[in-house]
Amino acid sequence: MRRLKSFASIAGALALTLSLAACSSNQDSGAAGETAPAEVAAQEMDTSVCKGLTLNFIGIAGEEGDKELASFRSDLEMKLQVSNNADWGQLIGAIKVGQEFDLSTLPNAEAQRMIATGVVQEIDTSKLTNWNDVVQGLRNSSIIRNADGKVFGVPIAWGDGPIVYSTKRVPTPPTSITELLTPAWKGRFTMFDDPALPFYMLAQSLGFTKVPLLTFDELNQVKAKAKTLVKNASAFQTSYQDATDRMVAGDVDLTIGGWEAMTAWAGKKEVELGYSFLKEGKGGGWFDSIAIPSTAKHPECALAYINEMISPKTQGVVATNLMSGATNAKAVPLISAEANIYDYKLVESETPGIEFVSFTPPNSVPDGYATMDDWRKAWAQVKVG
Amino acid sequence: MKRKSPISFKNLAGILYVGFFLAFLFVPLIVMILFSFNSSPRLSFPIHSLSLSWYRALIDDELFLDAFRRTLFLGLGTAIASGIIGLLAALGLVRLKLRVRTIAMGLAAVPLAFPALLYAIALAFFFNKIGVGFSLWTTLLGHVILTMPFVFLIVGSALERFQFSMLEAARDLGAGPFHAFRTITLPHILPAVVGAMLLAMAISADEFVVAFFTAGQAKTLPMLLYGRLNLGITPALNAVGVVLLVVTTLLAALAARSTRFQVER
Amino acid sequence: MSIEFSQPALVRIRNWRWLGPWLQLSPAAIIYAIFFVAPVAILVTYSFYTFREYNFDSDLTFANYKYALTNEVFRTLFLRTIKIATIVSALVVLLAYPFAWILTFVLPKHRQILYFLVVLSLFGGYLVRIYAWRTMLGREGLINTTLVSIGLIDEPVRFLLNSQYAIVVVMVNFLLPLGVLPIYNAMQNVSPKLIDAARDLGSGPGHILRRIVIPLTMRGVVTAVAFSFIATAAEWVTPLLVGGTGDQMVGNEISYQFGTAINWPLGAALAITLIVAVIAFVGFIFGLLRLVIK
Repeated sequence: MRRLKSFASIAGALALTLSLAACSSNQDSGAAGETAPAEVAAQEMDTSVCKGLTLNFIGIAGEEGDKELASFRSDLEMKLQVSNNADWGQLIGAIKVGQEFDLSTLPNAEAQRMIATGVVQEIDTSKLTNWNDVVQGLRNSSIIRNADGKVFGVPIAWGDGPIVYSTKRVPTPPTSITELLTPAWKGRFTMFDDPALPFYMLAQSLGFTKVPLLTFDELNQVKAKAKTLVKNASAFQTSYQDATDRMVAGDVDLTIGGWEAMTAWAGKKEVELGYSFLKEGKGGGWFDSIAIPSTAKHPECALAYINEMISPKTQGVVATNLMSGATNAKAVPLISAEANIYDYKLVESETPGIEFVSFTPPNSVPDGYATMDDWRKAWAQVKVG
Repeated sequence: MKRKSPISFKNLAGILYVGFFLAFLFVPLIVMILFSFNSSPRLSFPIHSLSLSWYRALIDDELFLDAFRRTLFLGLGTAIASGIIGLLAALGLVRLKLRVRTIAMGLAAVPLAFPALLYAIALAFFFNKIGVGFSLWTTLLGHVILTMPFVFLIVGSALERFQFSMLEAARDLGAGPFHAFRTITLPHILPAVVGAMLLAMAISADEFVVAFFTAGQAKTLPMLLYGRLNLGITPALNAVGVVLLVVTTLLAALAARSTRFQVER
Repeated sequence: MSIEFSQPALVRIRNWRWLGPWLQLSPAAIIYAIFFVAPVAILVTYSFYTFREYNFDSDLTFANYKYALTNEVFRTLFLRTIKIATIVSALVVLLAYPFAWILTFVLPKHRQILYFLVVLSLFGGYLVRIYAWRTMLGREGLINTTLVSIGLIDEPVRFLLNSQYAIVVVMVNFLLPLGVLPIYNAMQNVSPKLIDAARDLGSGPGHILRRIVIPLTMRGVVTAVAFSFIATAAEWVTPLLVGGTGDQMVGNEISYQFGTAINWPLGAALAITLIVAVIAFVGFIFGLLRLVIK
């Protein structure tokens, strides 16, 4: 269950066209240390460490390279055991009690905590031949790093935050979150059990433009509105697939926690879904990373696998399958036309270290402003009405 | 004036009630079975055409076959282990004073009162602390703890209505203790024992939370199902459920058959 | 048939001594001690720790329990859970009792197969069954389409799904077989001859039920109530999948504390509070039933 929290989008700036060639030529010569051209560099990763092994993955469905890396695995006689689990608590709990996983999703929401508590281990990016091809905006993110700047997760997908709805029952999609507070929308939509998106969007609708920094008074006002929103919602979706299934079954008409990929999944079930953006949420985005848990049995193989995950070829297929953004800019020409819907200027930047706007408060807030803990407590109160 | 109702009316009412009752219990299962044959990946009505494609896909699905084998092993192992241990305990218990019995039965029910998530984590933590790796065996232990109370309570109540006088008579006639147990006590409580063991197997086969935390990489069928449910519901999952249902039902039928045979003898 | 029987006779049989009852109890007791008591004890210890700065601080404290007892969010969830658990266990007993009765006295010839069918329904699996209910209770589900097509209603009924009704229906469906088992087994204790004798002496059906059958089957009823209540109180999967946004139960909160919040000490404290409260409540119901029967 990937939730739209603490995402990545360049603050403000929305550029116009993809200048793919320009970025890839930027990255090409950036392969520091390696003098050989990109194709040869990929072969320098010693994939033989993986021969005959079985890797264990836990995390978001679709982000483990099950389909995309099938031939990579069969060439090496490798197997991949997948534990699809989007419940971060269970994921973290499983690793903490010693279950051996070689690969894990590193969700932004929990990344810092997972890094600080040693749930995931450091990744030696100098060994990843494709690392320098990862788009700068993500590669330089501090979310995947610890205080010393060491990297603990490798971004493998990114996207924005649309609402998804049934075109049959919603002829004109709403444009503002305030519409969902009205009786016309009672029991018609789902959302994630998470305060980030609702609080952020409601704060915007109330004019609190400094969000995610909110004063306690502002937070209380947001809470009041959120209570109405939650009461109006039909249910909490447990995953993107769950929301899709509910819309396919006709139980709900819309979700505010959406993903373009949902339109493809519903299409397979012969139901048409569309996506759009609420004005309070536009410009927000997310990215997911893959990491190596501390309990990994085959960390070297995991590293080789991750390297393969961010290769242009694999990223092309992943982005097509998931309808998400590719993290390796070289992959863009390999993405199918219908899945190529993202603006890559959002994640490429001349200036390193620019971070995406977060929906939730940072780890330390100035005095008088609410912390993430306050947000969580407020959310618990919102839910009991 | 009490009017004596005709027997047939009482029977009719009884049959109707039983009918509705069983219908309520089985409707979701029937729906599950029905949709497993749906040719479209949707899990909603109307169903346009039927197909075996989901089942055919399972035959090639190695992960499914592995999980299936493991669940079967776990279910049978749990049934046998908690059956024997629970039976022994019930036998021992019935000969103790009432007060002790009540306390013991209360204690035995405590694992049932425990939220599965809490117990699963506690158990996983425990194994981790004593340095035992996660596998089907660790899960087996967890499942035995979860199902033993059922065996204990069910067999215990069966023993309580067992007429020990018969046993006394047999002993007076010279039967050895074990022989007497085997030929007199056991046949009378066998239905209860077998029923409890079947229950244990059913619980184990379907159990997810404890398995998730203690099976490690030895994925059981419920774990596989849960993981795939996160991928979105398709009839493939129903097919998995149906397979589980069919196998456990067959085992149950077999066990019930052998029980009846024994008692009649 | 009273429960206190043949004890002295049994003790007198000398050769049974080698099967000392304590010896028979020991495998169960040992397994229980190692694989249940020990893990739980560890977790109870944890409930007195606190979660600070990404680590478990082992200074013992009652802070978590204070939270459990005073936090109003937890209290709301708790009361809601008790309400749902009470409804579910009441329904289970009210539906299972007549069924067990019919099997024992009305259709005794078919009781084996009917009992077997009930046990069979347990094998259906839990998760897939919940999803099956989702398809039945939904807006375009079986129930709604049937009701609309036969003209009983014009518009589909929305409250069937994503509501507490859905939670109750699913839980009752799941727990009914488990409720029938103990009640049915207890009912086998009631000899038909006893009922015939009472009827011959002039007792009406109501009287027979209240004075004879119910007291004798009390044990089974209490077991059924206890099972159902406890199972429902700890539930978190069902509210998650078929409940609405305002229907979360205590189990969801505990699951959250153990999971996303990684606040295991608090999760442990909440869970233990729940268990203690539930057992106390069940004991209270038991006492109440006893009074009513007298």
